[in-house]
Amino acid sequence: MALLEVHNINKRFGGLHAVNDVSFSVSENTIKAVIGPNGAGKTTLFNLISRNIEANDGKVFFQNKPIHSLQPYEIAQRGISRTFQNIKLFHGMSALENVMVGCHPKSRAGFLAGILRLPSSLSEEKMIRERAYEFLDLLGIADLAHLEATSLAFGQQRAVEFARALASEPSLLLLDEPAAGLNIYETAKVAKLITKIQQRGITILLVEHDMSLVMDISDEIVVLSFGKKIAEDHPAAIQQNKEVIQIYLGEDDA
Amino acid sequence: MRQYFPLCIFLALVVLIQLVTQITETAFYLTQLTMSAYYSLLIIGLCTIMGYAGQISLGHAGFFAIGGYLSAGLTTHNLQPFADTGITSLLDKAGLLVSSKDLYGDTLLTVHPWIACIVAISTAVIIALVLGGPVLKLKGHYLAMATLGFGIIIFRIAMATPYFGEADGLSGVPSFTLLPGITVSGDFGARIINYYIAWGTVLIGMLLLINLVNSRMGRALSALHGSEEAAQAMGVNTARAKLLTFVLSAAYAALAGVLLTHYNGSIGPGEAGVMKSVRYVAIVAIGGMAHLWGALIIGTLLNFMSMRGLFGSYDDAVFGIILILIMLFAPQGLLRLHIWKHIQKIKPKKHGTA
Ligand SMILES: Nc1ncnc2c1ncn2[C@@H]1O[C@H](COP(=O)(O)OP(=O)(O)OP(=O)(O)O)[C@@H](O)[C@H]1O
Ligand SMILES: [Mg+2]
Repeated sequence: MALLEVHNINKRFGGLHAVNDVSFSVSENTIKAVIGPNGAGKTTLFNLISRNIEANDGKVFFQNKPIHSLQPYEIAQRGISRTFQNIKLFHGMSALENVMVGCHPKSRAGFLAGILRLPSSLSEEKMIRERAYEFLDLLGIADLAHLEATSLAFGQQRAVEFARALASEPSLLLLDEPAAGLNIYETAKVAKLITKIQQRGITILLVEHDMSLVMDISDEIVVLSFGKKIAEDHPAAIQQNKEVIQIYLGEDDA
Repeated sequence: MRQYFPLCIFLALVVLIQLVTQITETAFYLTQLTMSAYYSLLIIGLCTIMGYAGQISLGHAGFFAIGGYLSAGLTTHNLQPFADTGITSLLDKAGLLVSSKDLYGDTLLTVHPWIACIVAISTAVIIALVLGGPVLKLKGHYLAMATLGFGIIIFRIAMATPYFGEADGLSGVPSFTLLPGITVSGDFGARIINYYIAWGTVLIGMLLLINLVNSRMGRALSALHGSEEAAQAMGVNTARAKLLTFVLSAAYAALAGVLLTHYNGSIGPGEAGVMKSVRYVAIVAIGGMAHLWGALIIGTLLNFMSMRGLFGSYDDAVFGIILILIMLFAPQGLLRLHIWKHIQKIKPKKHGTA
């Protein structure tokens, strides 16, 4: 049984059918990529899974349980974390604090515990801080911990967002264009990092335009075009797929 | 522990001010300083919902009025004529009522101030839950609209209900003994102790809020202020976090209303007016929104000046103008005006035109 199953999901924006009856599944501990030209519906598909937007119809199962009517925060609590194509860091907070928010699903101190500074919340707070440092360290940005996150360089902001998503210790990680705007050197680091976290037992679903990155690291690829799934296969097979080649060549002609 | 250091300075300052008024024989300032303290209690609560959770409430005078009016009504209306009815005698037997003699020697039977206080704050909390529950699920500043309506309703109720004294309000509110020897009252002889009661309450209120903003839930609040979508993606139940903060701030406002009403011995509909709510919002904005200390300092100063009559009959207008000026020139608040940055920005321009 697959970790994530998407059944016939649909999203319309007015007359635009942004995601058209898409079905696919992601097996445990694999890296799956979603590719497709601009506006194909990749981000919308992510938003449907993480419930940031409401689907018109369709079902999503995670660990064999339906998640298509949960609240977004419940999705995170179930073990699905994500990053955003247009980085969404918390302004006014340091890189460390951003990552500490990522620890939210794996900690519990409530409102009252915080107000009254109960001993349990204090020891948890210490644990959260240590965890957050670990993830900053994993991303190689521990030295930026106390700088305001939104003031960092673009690549560093992506790294903070990555660390924040990891801090919730998800089973499934959705990465929306993790290498967009990065240089070749940074992109190579991201590729290494993604395989590293896969080895930690985390399943990955990613959207990416950088074809060499996608072909290198993914186990399987889904291709979207105008909201429709047109192919789903191993990287080698996708590279041979006529329809896929045509879409990308067509794009190159334009 | 570092975050508690300002609290120590604050405590020292409170004591220092009291000593100075004693030495300079200006103890009459203590009355307005005490009243300012209670308004500041409301303001730091409002600061958490506005600055940290990013939701504007235009109804905090309403919560203040619920606290003040309910405790005033319950502790002043004589229940003696109903002493034999089922509910009253039941309350009496349960020890929830107190009897006293009025000026003419007649027996007065009223609700115990502690019970009145609990009823008043619980009412404010329940109303905040009912009001905020559906509204805070929505994104954006819907809370401002809903609380504005709520504030107007409370004002109208205060003006129109005989039980609350209509346009005259309620007076003759008795003193409130919090603990043996610690009584909230406007008695001349109790001025110094009441100054310390008021500022002690603010100190505790600050301590709790400082704890909150430095905790996991406080971080979640700042996060949802930064990006609600990302906060949810990190597992923060943003609607719930906003609601709890709103309820907490309503409870602070109601408590301020209860204590100030017992201190003044009266409350009038002016306390429930929407202009009061605007004033509180303006003060939090001047203090820098997400800045508890800024809100406290500015709140104390401006309320003190206002009560000393410094703004004359333009009192409300002054706060309106301040709000406009702050939004235009210092949206980060007065205490965070980076004057040097502004000067540096101007310099290169000069060179360019020269
Ligand atoms: N909230 C929205 N309201 C209306 N239309 C939307 C909305 N979000 C996306 N769309 C439209 O849906 C289509 C799919 O957008 P989406 O962002 O999912 O594409 P994408 O595959 O992620 O593209 P890119 O590679 O550029 O990120 C686009 O035509 C877009 O304009
Ligand atoms: Mg996209």
